[in-house]
Amino acid sequence: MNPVIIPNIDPIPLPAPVWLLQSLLYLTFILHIFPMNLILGGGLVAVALAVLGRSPARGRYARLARQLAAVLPVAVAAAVTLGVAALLFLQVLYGPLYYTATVLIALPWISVIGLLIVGYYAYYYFGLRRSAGNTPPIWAGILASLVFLCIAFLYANMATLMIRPEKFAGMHGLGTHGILLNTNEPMLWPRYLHFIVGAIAVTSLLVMIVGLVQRRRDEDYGNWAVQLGGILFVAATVAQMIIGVWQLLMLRTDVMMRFLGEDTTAMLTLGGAIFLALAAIILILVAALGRARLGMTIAGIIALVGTIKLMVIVRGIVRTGYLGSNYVMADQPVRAQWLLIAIFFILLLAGLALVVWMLHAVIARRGMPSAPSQTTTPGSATGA
Amino acid sequence: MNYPFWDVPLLGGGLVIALIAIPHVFVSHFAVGGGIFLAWSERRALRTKNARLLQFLKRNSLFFVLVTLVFGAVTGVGIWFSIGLVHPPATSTLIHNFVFAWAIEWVFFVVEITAALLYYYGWDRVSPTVHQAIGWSYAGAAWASLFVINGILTFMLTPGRWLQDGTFWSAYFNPTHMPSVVLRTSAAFALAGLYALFMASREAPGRDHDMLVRYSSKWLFPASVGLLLGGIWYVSQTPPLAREITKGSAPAVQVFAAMSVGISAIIFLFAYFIAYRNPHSVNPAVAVLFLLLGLSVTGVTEWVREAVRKPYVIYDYMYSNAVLKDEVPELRRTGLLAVAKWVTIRNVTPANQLAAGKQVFELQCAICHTTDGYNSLRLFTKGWSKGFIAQQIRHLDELKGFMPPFAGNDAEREALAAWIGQLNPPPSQASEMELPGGMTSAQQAAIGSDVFDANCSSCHTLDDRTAIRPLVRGWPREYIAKQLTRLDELSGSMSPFDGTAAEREALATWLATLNPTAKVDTSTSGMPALGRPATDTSAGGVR
Repeated sequence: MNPVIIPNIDPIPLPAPVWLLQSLLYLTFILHIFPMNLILGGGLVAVALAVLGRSPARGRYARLARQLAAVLPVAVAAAVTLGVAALLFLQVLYGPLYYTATVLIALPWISVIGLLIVGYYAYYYFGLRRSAGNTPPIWAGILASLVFLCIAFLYANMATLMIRPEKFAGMHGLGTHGILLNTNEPMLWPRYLHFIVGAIAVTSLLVMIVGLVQRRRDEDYGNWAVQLGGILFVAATVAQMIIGVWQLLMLRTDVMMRFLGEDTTAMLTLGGAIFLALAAIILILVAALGRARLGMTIAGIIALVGTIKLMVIVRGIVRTGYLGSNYVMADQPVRAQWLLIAIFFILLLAGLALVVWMLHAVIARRGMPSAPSQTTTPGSATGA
Repeated sequence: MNYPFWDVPLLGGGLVIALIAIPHVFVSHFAVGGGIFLAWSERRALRTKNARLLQFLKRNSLFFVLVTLVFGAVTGVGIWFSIGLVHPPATSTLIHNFVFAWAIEWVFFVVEITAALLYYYGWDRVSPTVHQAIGWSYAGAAWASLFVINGILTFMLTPGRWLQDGTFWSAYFNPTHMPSVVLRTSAAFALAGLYALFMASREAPGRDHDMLVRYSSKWLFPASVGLLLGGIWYVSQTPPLAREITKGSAPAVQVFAAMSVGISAIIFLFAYFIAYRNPHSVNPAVAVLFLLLGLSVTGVTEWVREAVRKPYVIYDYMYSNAVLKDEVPELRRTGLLAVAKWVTIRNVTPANQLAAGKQVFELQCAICHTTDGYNSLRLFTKGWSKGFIAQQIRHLDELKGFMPPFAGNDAEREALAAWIGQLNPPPSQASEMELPGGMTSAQQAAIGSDVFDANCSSCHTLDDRTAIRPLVRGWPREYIAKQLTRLDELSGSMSPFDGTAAEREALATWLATLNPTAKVDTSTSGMPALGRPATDTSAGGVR
């Protein structure tokens, strides 16, 4: 059996307390997850809609495909931007694990950059061009979807490997060219599938939002989109629950048992996530089939956001459980840069205020003659 | 040592970083300059009611978004990925010092990305005033992100007072920070001008084309002044060794530094004499040529910037091979393999010497050298004897100022020398084995010449600055042979002779032939000072 080798923590102290860095990691990761889900699920759903929409009799599929495709480049921009911050805080907190895991899978890992450039441009092409039948070019959507499926797989590899330091020495012994992957990991496949199906669930909520917005212009189309999105969400979330059970069973026994009674916090967190997911299913089902669509959809989205927040915490509990005493973040020395931290938060607030102002200005067509603005609907914000 | 090593065949890790970083630097500087160009030009177009310029800006903003937001942003992430893979210890040091500087840069990045998208989507959707405000928001955020990241980059070459006090502010506001801001801002203006020239060159020939080309070329003029003054200021703040490296102690760096200045000068001459004075002659092919020159100058300049930092990755703190400067004495005492994390050999033995040597290579050398590709060790050491290799490693930092000292014990150094030695066939069969007896003096002298090449020629020439000939003038052969047994006593900077006794005798024979006309003194008392003719005549003039 190979020894557990973990690099020493950096001799330079952490620039902030662990709790603060950890909070920032969770916050930025949660913010990153939403556009990231749209990138992955949005491409798959939009391609399916575009394929169906090639028939002239199903023009609304093509229309919905176009509207989803237009969102995708913006979603990539948001996911990359928010992902950078999460990566930053991940590195400072988990550097010895993150760097080691990525070096062991270096070649596939660095290929994420090339893949991302291809996928990003493909989504721009998918979002801005039109093919026959007025659908987005399907090949570009398929290319981008495949690329992002690959990227998700590589991230799942990295994330599962970095919490398994007992594997490091053995993998390193197999070679130093960094061409390995962590494919013999029991939790890899359920985790990967969990992400893909979750991405479809989040995307289907976007479909519902598009439908709600479009309902003001075209009620039939809007209602159809709300229903389609709702049914897709329910199907994906039910599937997600089954995959979730599989994922739970694939965890190392001691970690699994934390969620099955040995650790109250872990059990309540997972239980809360499942409860909110069930609530989201019911609310969205009511929204899709009933009449009070807007309110129910918003309630369903709130429930799902709650689920995702709790699942991110569950993810953290899994990570802590796997690492055990091998890597304890609290062991790191701290020398807080409080003045700089204060400047960061002030600039963050100012920056967000500027972003909100700019978004509002463009959505509200600030400064333009009043005539066009009267015909503007909030749908313009979704790239409709 | 602390982290596992990623072995990139042929390219080496440094080149992987360069392949991602150079296009990124090119595009990101354009992103900064381009933002200022768009905001300023829109303002100018509106104030002067220049509809053609306004349309030009509008037409080209999608291209701007596609290049900067996609390629620029993703390759920026790519630099993070690559430095983390190639040099985790340095990346970790930077992250621990600057995580909140990066977080602040990220805030600007968020503003930058949002503003760029809204600038593109916002044409005709908001009033010109609001649109300009979005444009200036983009420009301001982009420049601010340059300012923030610049302090981190310059820290690596000039950590300044951080080495003493370890504080963020000393690290960030380091000696080359402000000069580099001037340089990078100027480069951003220049690249914006070059991109704009390319865009303008695609317009149909005529007055509009010429107006736009001439307007774009003007962006290079202030840049040329800024680059010149910023460059002088920057160089004046760099460590002395870094300046020496560009002035000739490392010829490749000197050539690249000269190329950086030369190509920049060509670009600015082009901007004035062709683009400004003769705008009609600028077609897309010419503009692309100069864009490529812009990429070249970015590449060579960044390469020089990285190269002059050697032997450090963070100056006076961490060597290129991730060994901390303060760790070297301890590692020489305890040995490197004893404390390294990812090795399978802890102690060097005759049986594992080559395998240990390879592990020492991976720990100490492979961050910069490959075996057969970029910076190939096999080619560098071709024709070197084992003794010569060992001597080179022993005095690495003295013989080659841009290389770190060897940080390991004697056995590890020998193991590394043995492993490097087996990369090539032995340079000369004769010089590696015991010499047969009964050789003539001429045969011995011929072998002695090879021994000199292998063991002495890295420091000594025959004549000129480090000449050996005047040093041994008047020395009898036997006296030379005796001195060769105690070289380290003659001078502190010399290492003991590493060859066999036969090789030493052959070398002495050959050295004695260098001054055939010397008068030989018979006195045997005392040792003559180096370079002063001895007075012993007993064995002079061996041919």
